[in-house]
Amino acid sequence: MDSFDGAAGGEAELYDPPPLRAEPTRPALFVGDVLRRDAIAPPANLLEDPRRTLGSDPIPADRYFSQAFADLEAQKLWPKVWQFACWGQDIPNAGDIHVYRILDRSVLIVRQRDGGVKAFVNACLHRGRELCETHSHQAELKCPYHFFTWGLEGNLKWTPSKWDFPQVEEEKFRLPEVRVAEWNGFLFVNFDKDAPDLETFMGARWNDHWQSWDFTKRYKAAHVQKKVRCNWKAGQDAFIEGFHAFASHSQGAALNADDCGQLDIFDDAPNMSRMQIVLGYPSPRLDPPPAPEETFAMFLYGFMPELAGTPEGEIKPGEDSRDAGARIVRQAYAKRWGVDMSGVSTAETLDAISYFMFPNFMPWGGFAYPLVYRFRPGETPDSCIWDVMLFHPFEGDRPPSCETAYLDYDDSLMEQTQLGGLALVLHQDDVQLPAVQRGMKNLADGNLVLTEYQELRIRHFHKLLERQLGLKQSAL
Amino acid sequence: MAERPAQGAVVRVEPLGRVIETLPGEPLMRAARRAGLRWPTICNGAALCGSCYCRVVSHSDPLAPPSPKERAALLAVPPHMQGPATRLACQLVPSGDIIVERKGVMPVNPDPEYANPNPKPNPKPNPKQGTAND
Repeated sequence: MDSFDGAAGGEAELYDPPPLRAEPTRPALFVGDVLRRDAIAPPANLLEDPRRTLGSDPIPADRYFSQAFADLEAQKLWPKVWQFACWGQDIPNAGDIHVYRILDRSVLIVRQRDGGVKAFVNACLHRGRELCETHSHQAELKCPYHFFTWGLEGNLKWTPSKWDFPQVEEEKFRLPEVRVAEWNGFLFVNFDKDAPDLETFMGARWNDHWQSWDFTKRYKAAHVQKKVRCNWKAGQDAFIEGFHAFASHSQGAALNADDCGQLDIFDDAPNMSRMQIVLGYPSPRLDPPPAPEETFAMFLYGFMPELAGTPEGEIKPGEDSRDAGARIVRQAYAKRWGVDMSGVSTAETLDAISYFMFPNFMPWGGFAYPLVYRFRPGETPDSCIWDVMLFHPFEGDRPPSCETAYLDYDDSLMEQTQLGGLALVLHQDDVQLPAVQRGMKNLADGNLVLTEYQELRIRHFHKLLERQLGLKQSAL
Repeated sequence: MAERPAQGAVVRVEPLGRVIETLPGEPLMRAARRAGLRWPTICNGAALCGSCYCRVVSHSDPLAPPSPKERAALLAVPPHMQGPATRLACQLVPSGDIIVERKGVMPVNPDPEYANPNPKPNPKPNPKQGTAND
C-alpha cells in the first residue's frame, strides 16, 4: 500500500506534509490581457469574452450510469441531433463508404459519382442485414446475404428471384436516406427529418469564429479510436474543462496557465462553447515558479530540440517565454510542414483553443493543437467509444487520410506514437476515466459538485442535454 | 515495500549548491523542506504530479529502484528531463553521499549566501503588473 510522501521509506509514522497554498482568489492572469499584448494580434473572435456563468447547482451523478437515463438519450438525443459522422476526406472517391454507428443505429455515408454525399440506413430492405460492416469502396451496395443490390444513389438495381417478390415495386424500393450535411470538411448526419438544418443549429457565430481555421486545407494525419470503461459524457467532460490539467497532466504546469483559462458560452449561439488556455506562461499554481527558461525549454525540446545550444534555442532580448515559444513553434511548422506561420497570431500559434458543438463534436481552433475529439456511447452506460484525430497542414497534393488505429479497453495510448506528445496526455486521461465512472456510483448524495466557472462548459452541456431530453425548462 | 535504509544521506543540491542531510528513511523532498528549501511540486509529495523530479548526478550507496507509483509519475517529467538518473524527490530515499541536480529549488527565505538559481524573472508573466515591454 502506498503511503503519502515517501512510499519507498516504509515508515510507521504518518507524515503530514505542509498544507498547499490556499487559493481564495482567481489568479490575475487573464486570457484577453495576454492576447491584447501579443506581438501578433489574434483574430477578433479570440478576444470575445462573454463572461456568462450558469450558477453552481449540483449535477445528478446518475445521468452518467443509469440505464433509464441512457434509454432517454437513446430515445430523445441521438435520433434527434446533428452528429459528427466522419471526416469527408475519409471517403474522397466515388464509391467510398463509411459506416457510422451510434448505439443500435448504423448509417452508410456514400461518396457519389458527382462528388456529393448521400447517407442511407444501413439495412437491406429484404431481411434487414447490414449492407456494409466496415469502411469499403464499391460500385454498388450489395447485401452479402442474398445479393439484393442498390446503386450508390440508393436506387434498387437487382432483385434476386424477382418473380417471387410480387409486392416489391422497384421504383419505390429505394434505400431510405438519412440527412447528411458538411461543415468544414466534416460530415454530420441527423435521423430527424424535422430538425433545423445543420447551419442553423450551429449558428452564425460558430461559422464566424471558424473563418480563420479551414480544416479542408489539412489532412487527417492520425486517428485513434479507443473503447473506455466510462460513460460517454464522463469522457467528454475531461475534454471540455481544463481544471483537471494541473493534477492529471502536471507536466504541462510549467508550460501553460491551466488555472487561468477562459470559458465561454454565447447567448446567440446556444449550442456551442469554447475554452482558451494561454501557453508560454507557467501555472501560478507551480510553487516555486519555474524560470522562464524552463517554460521555454518545453517548447524547444518539444518542437525543435536541434536548436538546443544555439542562439535560436535561447530566449532573446525583448522576448518572454511566450514570445520565444511562439517563435519556436512557427519554425517547427515551417520545417515540418512547409507552412509559413510568420503572420499567424501568437494565440493561434500556441494556445489551447477548444470548441464544442452539442452534443459531442470537439474541434480545436488555432494551429497549435489541430485536434478533434468525439465521444459516443458504448454498449452499456459504463462504456464509450473515444475518437482522437489530428489534422496537419500540407503543401502540394493532399496526402491520403491515415488508417484508424482501433484500441480495446486495456490497450495503452502510450504506444500510439502517431499522436506524438499527446499520447502521454491522453493516456493520463484514459487511466482516470474508469475510476471516475466507478467512483461516481459511490457518491453518498448522488451529486457532482462542479466549479462555477472552470467547469462552466460541463454545466452548459447539461443544460443543453436537459433541453434535448425535455427534463426541464432550460435557461439557454 | 523497500527496506528502510539504516542511515540517512548527505545530499548536495545543485545548482543551488546547498548541502542538506536526510534522516534514515526520509525522502529527499521532505528533508529539503525541513532544511528550509522550496522544492517544485504540485501534488505536495503524493507521487502524482512528477514536478519534483531531479537528476541524480552521483551516489555512494545503491538507490532503491523507483516504485510502480514513482515510475508512473515519472512519465509526467518533461521529456527532455527524463532518463535513468531522473527520480522524484518526494519518493527518493537516499543514504550515504549523493549529489542531485534540480533547477528551481530555492530557499524559503532567500539567503544571499546561496546563489539564486532563477535570477531572471519572466519579463511579462503577469499582465496586471505591467512591464517595460508594454
